[in-house]
Amino acid sequence: MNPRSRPSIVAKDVVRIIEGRRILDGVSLDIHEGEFFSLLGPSGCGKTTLLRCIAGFDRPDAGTLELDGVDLARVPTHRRDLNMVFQSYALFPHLDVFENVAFGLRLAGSSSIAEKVREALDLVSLAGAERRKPATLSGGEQQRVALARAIVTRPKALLLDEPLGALDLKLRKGLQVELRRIQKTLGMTFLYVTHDQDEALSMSDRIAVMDGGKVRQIGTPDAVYRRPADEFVARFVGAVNVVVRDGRRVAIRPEAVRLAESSEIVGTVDSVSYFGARSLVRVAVGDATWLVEIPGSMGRNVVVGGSVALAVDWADAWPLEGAPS
Amino acid sequence: MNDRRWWLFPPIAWLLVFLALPVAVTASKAFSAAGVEALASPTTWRLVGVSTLVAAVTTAACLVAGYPVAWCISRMPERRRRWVLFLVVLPFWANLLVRTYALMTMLRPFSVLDTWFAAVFGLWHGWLPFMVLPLYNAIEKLPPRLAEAAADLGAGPAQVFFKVIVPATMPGIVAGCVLVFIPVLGAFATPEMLGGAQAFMAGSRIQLAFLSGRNPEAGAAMTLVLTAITLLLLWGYRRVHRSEGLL
Repeated sequence: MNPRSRPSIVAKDVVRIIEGRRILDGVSLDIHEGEFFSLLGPSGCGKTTLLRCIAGFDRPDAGTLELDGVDLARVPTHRRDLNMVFQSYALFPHLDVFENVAFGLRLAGSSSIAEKVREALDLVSLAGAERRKPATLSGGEQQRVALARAIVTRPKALLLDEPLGALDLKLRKGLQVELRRIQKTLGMTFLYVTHDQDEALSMSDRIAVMDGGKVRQIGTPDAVYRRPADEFVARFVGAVNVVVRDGRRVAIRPEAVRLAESSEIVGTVDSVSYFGARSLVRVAVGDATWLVEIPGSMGRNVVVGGSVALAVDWADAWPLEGAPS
Repeated sequence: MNDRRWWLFPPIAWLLVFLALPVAVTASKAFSAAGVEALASPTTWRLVGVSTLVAAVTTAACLVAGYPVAWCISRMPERRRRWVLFLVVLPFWANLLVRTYALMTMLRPFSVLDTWFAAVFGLWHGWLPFMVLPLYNAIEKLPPRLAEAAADLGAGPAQVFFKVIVPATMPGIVAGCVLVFIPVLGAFATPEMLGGAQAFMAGSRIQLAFLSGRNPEAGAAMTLVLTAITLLLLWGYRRVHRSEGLL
């Protein structure tokens, strides 16, 4: 499903100041209906604060937030047609799985609650767990319940605050794929906060990379990865070489560099890290260190301390602002 | 006798000497002729009714006052929280009678001494910490972001409180109520000192019956009735909430 171009959540020059610090420093975003949009950035960059302002748990000191063209400033949390999925799940401990999921439906006076709850639990693959209490579920199962509870009322958008952050790597990978599937099935707008660049790149339609309360770049995963707006974005979304060429600083990803028989760039192998499918080689060239990504099995042929030549696809390099240091 | 059984001996002995034996003595006195006569007397039941009412009112007052206190404490930063909890418990370092005399001095200017109000006020003041501590314990254990999750799903402030916060802290509420209700049901010193002759509760009657030595059988009978009321309430609560695994 292609994201439609209708705006769902719109932020305009949002500022939030807490104890003198500008946590959000003029953030503007347009999130389209049906889009999987990620806010990516290091901790403290303001991504969670922005999400909490949209949910209504916090309010901006300046700027506006809109949902489907309606200004949210005067809409209290419980009247915003948005649901949140928390990193800590925040399930109701005194209610079983069925009643947790039914909570929003009951408040809305919804009809055919049992059927809707069953559908939502089917969607998150938790059918049969209706009568269990949250305390008896694993972390992954609890997060599935939280997800079912959030989608069952079919809100206009879902806000997800590092929902997989507390889970182990394998579970996280599986749930990433599932979240994406569920989002596509429902065609619902997802606003996803994460500090994990792989997560953002693999799941999103578009990503906003944030730092220091500002949006550094908004774009598709491919654009953010291959044409980062600045050095911060380049380094945050993946490994990168920053080198001087023809008197200018340019950036190039490790996978655009190869080990060659001979070339004008020759260096000494500093270290080799094996990651299974790929190996990452650090090569000292003069004062600079180059990162080179090669197929994993080839890592065995590289001798630490040996001399290697580097072939570079300069077409994949991009210039950076600022004079060479 | 193997080692494991040997370790059971001290607690069993303790229970026999300090629980089973006194209950047996009390029961044997209660079911004597004088005891049964007291059980049949309307005065006994009027006093039991008064005590139950006072205990219920005091418990309710402690709950209403204790919940916000416990809530605020649980929201404090760690260091301050420890200090405030210490302050909550601090009154127990002073003897009950001393504290009650202090209350008498405090209440005198308001001309409320020797009334039911003063008696309930004193009981409320004395047992409030027993409500605050279990409530604090339950509130502090609430999952983070719970109230936000409820509001997010469409619950207004009152619904957040009554549909989520209260049920989720129910174990603490029950524990606090039990801890306040039971001692207040048998109280006599505080109500006598602050409420005077007007605030004559079952506890006073029991104390008088035993200490005056005139009618221990009537005291024993009333003691059994108060114990039965407590057990009945606990049993009733368990029946209602058995599925939730509380108590």
